[in-house]
Amino acid sequence: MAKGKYFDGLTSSEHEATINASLQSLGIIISDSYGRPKFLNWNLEDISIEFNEFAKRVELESKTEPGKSIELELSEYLSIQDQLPKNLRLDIRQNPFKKLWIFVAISLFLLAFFVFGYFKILPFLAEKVAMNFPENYEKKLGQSVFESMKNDLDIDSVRSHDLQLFFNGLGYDDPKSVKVFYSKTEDINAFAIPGGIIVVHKGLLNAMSDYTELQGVLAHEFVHIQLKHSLRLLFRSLSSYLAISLVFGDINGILAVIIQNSNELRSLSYSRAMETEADIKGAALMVERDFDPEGMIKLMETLKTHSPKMESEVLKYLATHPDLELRIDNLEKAYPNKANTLNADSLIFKNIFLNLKNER
Amino acid sequence: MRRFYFADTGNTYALPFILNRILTILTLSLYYPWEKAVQLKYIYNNIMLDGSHFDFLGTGKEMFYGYLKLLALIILFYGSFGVLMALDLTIYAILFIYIMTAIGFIFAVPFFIHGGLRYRWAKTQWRGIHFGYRGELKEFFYLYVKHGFLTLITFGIYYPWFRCQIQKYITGHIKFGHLHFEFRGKGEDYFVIYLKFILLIYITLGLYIFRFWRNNFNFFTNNTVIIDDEKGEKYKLSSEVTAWAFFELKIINLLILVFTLGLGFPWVLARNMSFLINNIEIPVNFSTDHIRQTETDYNDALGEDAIDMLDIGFI
Ligand SMILES: [Zn+2]
Repeated sequence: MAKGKYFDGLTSSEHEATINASLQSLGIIISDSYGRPKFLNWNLEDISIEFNEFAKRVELESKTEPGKSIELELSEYLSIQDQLPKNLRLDIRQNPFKKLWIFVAISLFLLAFFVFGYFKILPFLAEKVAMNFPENYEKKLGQSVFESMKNDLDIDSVRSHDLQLFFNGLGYDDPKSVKVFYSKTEDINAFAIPGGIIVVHKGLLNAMSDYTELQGVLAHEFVHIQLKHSLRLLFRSLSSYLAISLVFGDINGILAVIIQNSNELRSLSYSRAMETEADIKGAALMVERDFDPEGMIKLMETLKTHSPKMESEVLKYLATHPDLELRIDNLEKAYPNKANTLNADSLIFKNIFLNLKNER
Repeated sequence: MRRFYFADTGNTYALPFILNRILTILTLSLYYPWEKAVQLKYIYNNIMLDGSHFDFLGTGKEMFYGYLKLLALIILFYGSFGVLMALDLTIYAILFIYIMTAIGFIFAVPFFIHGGLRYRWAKTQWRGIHFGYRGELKEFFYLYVKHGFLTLITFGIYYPWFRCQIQKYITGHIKFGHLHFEFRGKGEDYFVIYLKFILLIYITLGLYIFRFWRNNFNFFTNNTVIIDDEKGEKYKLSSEVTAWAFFELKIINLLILVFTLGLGFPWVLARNMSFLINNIEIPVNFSTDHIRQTETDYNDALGEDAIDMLDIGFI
């Protein structure tokens, strides 16, 4: 015998119900609104028995008379369960503590998996995608980024032309694939955009004292392009955004992020490993062409003289560009003998360089 | 003992939450409607009124069709945008975004709200008595577009009146058996709440937000009335929640989410629900014993998920 509540589906009145179970039917005694007993007989074939795990109650519902239902506390149900035929008995495993522990275990596992995926798998996949990204899309992407920056850069087309000649003469690559631009802004900087665009700022050119430095900076930026450094960075940051949005279940956000990110290339900064790689491989490229790798070192020194002084060691450590000191060290280790190997065209390079520096 | 309260602390939702979340992620969110159904069942089953819990009868399958339609709309939207971008028609693409967003807000939103409300309320019941939303799409649409337009041309100044009109219509068309509801909030009163918010939010370095939330909550609760036509009685809901309570709720929720990397969501949900439900006071003379069944079944879940995405919190 179990005590429960009976609802007739017509009004919200609660009726106390006493339920007796047998193998064929439920015998239900309810008291009506005047307190008089009323007898019901529900055929077991005509009812559904369900455990509501959140309300922690068992619900019996009549299939023939929709809306009529009985609600039992779990303990009440268990007291009549044994009288029900086996196929109708509920499989209730109600152990809240066990469930919480399963939750904790799954959470920890997920956390571990996520950390591993985030730091190991994701960068690996991003790298793969970046390296297999179709070249014409890369060019298109680079072009649109460049277009969006163009106004701020204040490009000088005549000097850009000279700079292009200078670059083509270096023979680092098929001349058609890389476009070089001269920006009239005073930044002591140069940068590369995926798909093959290099921009050198006036500030940097004027700070240089030697044409080999220009050979150096172009070699450095060219390596960034050749090794798809910014594309790799883009996919890395994109993939972490994707992972995070996915976990928080935000599809809308993912698409927005993709659109946004392709325009944020500029704000990405290379990792220390990438900068060092560009230095060393750039210098190697110079040696290969019989240019003086010392140019790369001189370039670093020029950058060092003009870089804002960093007061504390902490700041130095936090800076995204590896310490110029360190970069110079690395280069000097790689190219200890500073013997000048003169390239046959050095005079031409020198002239273009001086031309670029000239105020016109 | 309280007549109206939320009965769980979050413990019982923890395991279902994480299992469903995993499924949603693994299926690239296709499983989301099922996750949502479980969550709604959890919420409704723990809202207690006079000793009986509420029920949410909707299913993931029903909501899945609505969700697919919404996904199709989103894909269509971003797809068209992508095509325009691919064709180098950036200006048209931007224009497209503006126009579609405007059209979306003015035309699609009322459509989704209407659908969501009808489905949600039709699937809500208590002691076997159905709720229902009897609003007409045409009326609601007209109301929404008219007041939405006024809000647009007044640069948002009209918004409090707009909000009250919408709330009035929605609340006025909700049925609970033979009972129905009424919203009495006035635009000018809500405007004062907004005005104070705008004036004070910067001066208080954002801290006024808690008082604003308090005012907002109390405004909507205290202006909601249950009407029993048969008895000729009206029962006013009330709330006396404080700004400090809001502060405590939100700060602790934030800490829980941050320190559990989001996995504490079940407890945050339960805290939110407890806060919301436990702070609504039902008048003592309102009896829940003789509410008569009047509503019938309704099945169309389009809008159910849109409500979620648009972050419009109808419970
Ligand atoms: Zn670099």
